[in-house]
Amino acid sequence: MEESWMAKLPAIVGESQYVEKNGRIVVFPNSTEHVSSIVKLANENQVKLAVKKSKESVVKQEPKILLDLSKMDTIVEIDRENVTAAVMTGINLAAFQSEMKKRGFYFPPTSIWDNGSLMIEAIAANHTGPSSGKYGKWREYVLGMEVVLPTGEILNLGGKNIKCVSGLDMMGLFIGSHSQLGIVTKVLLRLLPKPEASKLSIARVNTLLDGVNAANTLGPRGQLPARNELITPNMAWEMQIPGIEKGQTVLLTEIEGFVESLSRQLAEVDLIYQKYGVKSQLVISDEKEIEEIWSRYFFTASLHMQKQTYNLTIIPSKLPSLYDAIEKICRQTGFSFEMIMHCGVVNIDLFLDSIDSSNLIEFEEGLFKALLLLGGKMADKKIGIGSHVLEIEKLESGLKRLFDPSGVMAG
Amino acid sequence: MLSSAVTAELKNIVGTKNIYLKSEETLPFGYDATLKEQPPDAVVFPQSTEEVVQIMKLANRELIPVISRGAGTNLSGGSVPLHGGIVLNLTRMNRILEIDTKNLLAVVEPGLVNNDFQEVLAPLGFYYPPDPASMKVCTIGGNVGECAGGPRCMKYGVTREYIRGLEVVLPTGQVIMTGSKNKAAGGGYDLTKLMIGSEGILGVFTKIIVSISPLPEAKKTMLCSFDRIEDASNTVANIVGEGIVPTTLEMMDNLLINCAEDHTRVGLPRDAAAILLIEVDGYKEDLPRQVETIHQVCRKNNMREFKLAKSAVEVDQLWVARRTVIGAVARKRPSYSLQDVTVPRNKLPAIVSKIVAISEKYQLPIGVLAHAGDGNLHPLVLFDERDQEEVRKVHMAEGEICRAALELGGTLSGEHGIGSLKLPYLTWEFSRTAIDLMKGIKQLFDPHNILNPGKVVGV
Amino acid sequence: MTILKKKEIYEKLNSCNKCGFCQATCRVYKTTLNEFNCARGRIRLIKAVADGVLVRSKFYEDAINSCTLCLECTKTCPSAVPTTELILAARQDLAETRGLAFTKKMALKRVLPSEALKKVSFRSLKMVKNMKNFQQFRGIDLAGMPVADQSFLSISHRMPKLERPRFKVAFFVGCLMNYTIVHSAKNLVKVLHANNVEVIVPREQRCCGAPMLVYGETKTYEEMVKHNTEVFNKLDVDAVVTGCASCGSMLKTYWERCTNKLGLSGAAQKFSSKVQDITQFLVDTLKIDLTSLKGLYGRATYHDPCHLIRAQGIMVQPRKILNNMPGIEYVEMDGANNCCGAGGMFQGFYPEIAAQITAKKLAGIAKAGADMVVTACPACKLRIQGSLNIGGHKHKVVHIVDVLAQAYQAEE
Repeated sequence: MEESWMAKLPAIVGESQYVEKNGRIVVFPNSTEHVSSIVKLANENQVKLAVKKSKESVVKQEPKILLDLSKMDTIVEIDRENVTAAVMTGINLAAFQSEMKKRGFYFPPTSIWDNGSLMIEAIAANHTGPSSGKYGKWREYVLGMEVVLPTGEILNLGGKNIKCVSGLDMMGLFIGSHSQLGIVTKVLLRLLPKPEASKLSIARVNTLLDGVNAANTLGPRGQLPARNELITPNMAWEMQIPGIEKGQTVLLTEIEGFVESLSRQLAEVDLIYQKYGVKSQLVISDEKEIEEIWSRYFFTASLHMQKQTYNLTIIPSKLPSLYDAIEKICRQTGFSFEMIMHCGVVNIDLFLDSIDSSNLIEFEEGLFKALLLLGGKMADKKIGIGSHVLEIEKLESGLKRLFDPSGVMAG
Repeated sequence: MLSSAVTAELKNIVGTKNIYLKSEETLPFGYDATLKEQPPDAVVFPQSTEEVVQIMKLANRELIPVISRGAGTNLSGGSVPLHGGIVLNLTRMNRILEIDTKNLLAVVEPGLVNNDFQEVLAPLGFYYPPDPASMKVCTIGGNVGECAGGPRCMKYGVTREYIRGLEVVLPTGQVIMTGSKNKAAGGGYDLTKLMIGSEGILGVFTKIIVSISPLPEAKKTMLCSFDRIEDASNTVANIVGEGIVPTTLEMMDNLLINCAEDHTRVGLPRDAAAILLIEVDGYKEDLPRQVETIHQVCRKNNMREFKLAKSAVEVDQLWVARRTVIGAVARKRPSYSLQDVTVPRNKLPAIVSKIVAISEKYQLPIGVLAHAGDGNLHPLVLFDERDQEEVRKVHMAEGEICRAALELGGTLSGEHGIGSLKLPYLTWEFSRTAIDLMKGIKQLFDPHNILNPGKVVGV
Repeated sequence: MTILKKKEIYEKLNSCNKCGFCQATCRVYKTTLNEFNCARGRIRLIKAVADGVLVRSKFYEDAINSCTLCLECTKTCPSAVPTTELILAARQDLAETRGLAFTKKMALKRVLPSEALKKVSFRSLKMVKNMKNFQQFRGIDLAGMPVADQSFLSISHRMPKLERPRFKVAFFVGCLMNYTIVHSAKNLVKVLHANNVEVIVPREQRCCGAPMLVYGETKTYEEMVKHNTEVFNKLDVDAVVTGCASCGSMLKTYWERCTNKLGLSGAAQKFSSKVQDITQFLVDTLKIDLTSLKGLYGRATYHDPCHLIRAQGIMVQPRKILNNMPGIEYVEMDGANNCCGAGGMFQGFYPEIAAQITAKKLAGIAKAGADMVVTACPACKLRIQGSLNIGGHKHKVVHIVDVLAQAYQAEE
C-alpha cells in the first residue's frame, strides 16, 4: 500500500521510525512534537489513529496508524524537594515503579491490566488494582500533563502544585478516556516517600465468602492494608505462594508504614481474621521476598488474562450476593472461573475458563443482570438502564466531538 | 425581571413559602464572602430533585440564569448572580439519606453542612476527611462544586478523592447519575471528576455519594514559632523531605497571628514572625518518633519555641485560632481580598518574599496564611472597600500576586475556584486552546448558558 | 438623622466582611436556613436601610425582629462584629421612624413600667389562662404558667430579719420573678438568709428596662434606668443581687448605655458595678460550702441562659453549685448553652421558629436523661417548662435557688 500521506512520515519521525505490519503503520515517535505532527497528518488525511496496545497483536487493532510510544521513555526530572517526577508516558510502568523505589520514592498505581504496559496505556485505562484501596488511582497522582489533542495541538495542564482547582478538571477527563480525547505524552506525577517497612501476611481461608467477609471487616475497623488480595486456589497455587497448599484459597494482606506499629496492626488484622476462620500461615518482612511474590502474582494474572476477563466492582455488603450469582451463572453456562479480589476497593478480576465459548453471551447477560440488580459496575462497560444512561452517552459523544471534531482517534 | 407567568410557575413548583421575589428579600442572596454583589430576581428553596428538575426546565425554556447556592461562604465570587436570575438556594436539601459504615459510604443532599455531617459521623467512629476552614457553615454541595480542600488534605487529599458519585440535574432538566456507590468507577468518561470543582456551571448536584473513613486512632498537634518567615517556610519543605506526611502543615504570619490572638486569646506568640501549626495522625506508637523528627527539623531551622498540645482542649484552641483567622481580619480593616494561589512546595519562600514586596510596594497590609504543606497560600490584602483609591491598588496587588505565583510554576487556585473574581487572570494560566475546550464543555452541558453564566470559563 | 447613620453604628455595619461564620451558631438561621435570619444577612439589610436603598418594610421589620438576641453571633464572629448592638440600633431606628405596633406600645410604654398595670395584667392573665381558648397561646403554655396571687414585692416585707448578717445585699426581683415564680424569689431570699446575708427588697424598684430597650422604646428605657439607679444607689449595700439573667445583664450595662446622655455616668457606674447574679454572689463572693448539705437526690442537668453565659460570662458558677451538691448527679446536656427559644417577646411573635429552637433544647434534655432541669433565669424556666408540659414530658424545670433552698431546708 502506498498512500501520499505516508510519504511525509520520514520527514516527521525519521526513516527507521515506523514499520508497516499487517496493513497497519506502527510509528515510533521520539517526542511530543512527533506525536503532534503525526496526529496532524492523520487529521489532514482523515486516517484513523490510536495508541498501540502493547499486549494485543497488531492485527486485532483497527486503526491505520498505531502510535508506539515506547521510545518516549525518559524520566525528565525527579524533584526531591517537591517529591514529584516528570515522565514521558512511553516508559514501562513497572520499570518506572522500580526505578522510583531505588531512589527512595514510591509510586503505587498499577493493576494486573497494566503489567508490562506503558504508562500511557495505564493512564488511558485507569484500571483498578491491588493498591487502589489505600492509595487511590491515577487522578490522585497526576499533577500535570502534556496532551496532544486529536487536532495535533499540544495542551499543557497543571503543574507541580499539590492542589489545583483552576478551571474545569480536564485532567480527570483525559485519565481513563482510552486516549479518545487526546494522547497524554508527558505527566508530572506526585510521588510518595517510600514506606519505612512492610509486612505481608499470607493466610488461608476456608471459603471465598469467609475471606470476603473477613477482609471487608478491616476497613470499618480502621485497618486499610496497602494491598489486600483474595485469590482463588488454582491461581494461588500457580503463584507459588509460600506456606500454602494446593486447593487453598489465599488472602494476602500487606501492611506498610512506620516500624513501630506494624506488628500491632498485623495482630489486629489477625484478630479480625480469626473470627472468620481465616488462618495466617506466614508473615514475610523481607522486602525482596515480598517483591518476588508480587511479581509472581502479576505474572500468573497475565497468563490468565488471555482468557475471557472481566473487572467488576461492588460495594462490600453486596459482594456475597454477587459471588453467589457468578457461581450460579457459571454452573448454568458450564464455565469455571478464577478470581482475584482487591478487597480494599472490592474490585474483582474475574477470569473465565472457556472451552466452549458459545455460551458466552448467555453468561454475560446473566452477569450484567446481576450487576444491575446489585448496583455493581464493570470496567469499560456501562451497566444501567433508562433515560439517564442515554443522556450520559449523549454527553460523552458530545465530548468526543468537542475534542476530536474530525473523528481521527479510533475507539 | 421575571415575568409574572414565570414567577407563578416557580411558586407552583416550590410553594409560596419557599420563594422570595421582592428586591428587599433577594438582597441577602446576592453576595458571597467577597466584595462582589448583585441580587437575583428570585430566590427559591427547592426540597427535592424533582423540584430542581422543574425549575431547570422552566429556566431552560425561558432562558433565565440559575445560580446554585449553599452557605454563600465562597471566596471567588462564584455564587454571586452577576446576571440576575434565580438563586437556587439548596440549604433546605440538607438530609443525610444514608450512612453505611460497613461499606464506608454515605449519601447526602447538597445543603448538608459539612460539620453537621461530621457531628453525626463522629459518634459512629467515622469522619469525612475534607475539612475546609469554614466547615462549620459550608455545605457539602458547595464543597463538591469548589473541590474544597482544607488543612487535613495535605495527607488525605481534597474533596475529589471522597466523591464516589453524584446525582446531577443538568441545565436541560435531565437527571444523570455519575459514578455510583462503588469505590471504583465503571465504564465511560469520568464525568464525576468533571463535575467536581466545576463551580456550578455544568449541573446541580442533588445527591452526593461520599466516602467516609474511620477516625484515626491518635494525633499530635504541634505549634512552632519562628523569628523569620523564611525559616518557617524552609521547615515545611524539610519536614516532607524527612518522609513524614503530616495531616496538617499550616502557616500564619505575624499580622494574622495577632488577629487570631485578638479573637481567641489562646496565647499565640504575638511577636513571632510566623507560626506553623503541625499535626500528625495515625497509630499511636508511630507518632512520638515523628514528633521528634519534626522537632529536630524545626530546631535546625532556627525555631523559637516548640509546643506540643497536651490536651484535647489545647488542640481545639489552636484549631479555632486557625479556622477563624480569615474572618478575624476585619478587626484590622473592614474589607479583605483573599487570594488562593498555589505554588510548588519548594517555591514557598520565594512567593512569600514576593508577597512581602508587593505589600510594601502598594502600602497595603497583607497577611499570609498558608496550607504550607500543599504550597497553597491565602494572602489576605486588607483595605476599606469605601476607599476607591485603595480598591484600585488592591486589584493591582491581586494581579501581581497571581502573576508571581504563575511565574513560579503555580496556579491561580488551589481550592477556592475561579468564580468571577479570578476570571480576568484565566488567560495567564491557560492557553487559548485549553480555554476554548473548557468553554466547549460548558456549551455541551448547558447549550443555553443558563447555569451560573459568566463564571469559571467566562461563557 | 437615623441612628443607623451615626458613626459608631455605621462603622460597625461596615465591619462585617461577610465570612458567613455566624450561620454556625445562629439558632434562628439553623431553623429557617434562610440567609436574612443570620447576622450577615441582617447586617446587610440594616446597611441597605442606612444607605437609603431599602425601605423599612414589613419584611425588613420581620428580619430585624426575628432575632432572639441570644448573642451567639456576637461571640462567634471572628471579627467581633457586635451584631446584637446593631440589631438593637435597627429596632430603635424602626421605633423612631415607623413607631411601635399597638400591642408592643401598650406593653412597653404603659404596662411594664407601671406596677399597678402589671398587677392588673397578671391578674387578668390568671383569670383567662385556664379558659379553653387561652390555654395555649402561640406555642406558649399559658395554662401551666404560674401566676402568683400576690406579687413578691407586695409580700417581701414579711420575710424575717437577721441578727448579725455577714453581708447586706439588695434584691432586684424583676417582673417575672415578682409575678410568676414568686416561690423562687422567696427561695432566693431563704438561701441568702441561710448564709447569713441580709436582704433588702426596695418596693419601689421597677422593670429593668430590657424589654423597652430591645424594641427600641428608648425613652421609657431611660426612665427605668434613671429610676432604678436612684432607688438602689440610696441603699447602703454590699451588692445588688438578682435571680434573673436578663435583668442582671441589663443592670450591669446601665452605665455603658446612653448614660452620658442622662448625665448618670457616675451614678449608673456605681450601681452597675454592684450588680451580681445570685450564682455569682454565692460562689465568688460568699464561696458557699455545700458539702454538708443533704436530702437531695437525683440527676440534674443545667441550661445556660443566653444572658448569663454570653452577656455576663457566667458559666462555671452554677455548675460548681450543682457539682458540689451531695446527692445530685450532674450531667451536662448537649447544647447546654443554646438558646431555649424564649427570647422575651420573640416566642410570641415567631412561635413557629421558637417552637423548633425549643424542640432542640428538649431533645438535649431528653438525651441527658436527667430528672430535673436547672436554670437561672425565670424566662428560660417558664419557656422550657411550658414546652415540656405541652409535649407531655414529666421533667421539672427549676431555678437554681429552688434546689439550694430545698437543700438548706433539709439541713434544718
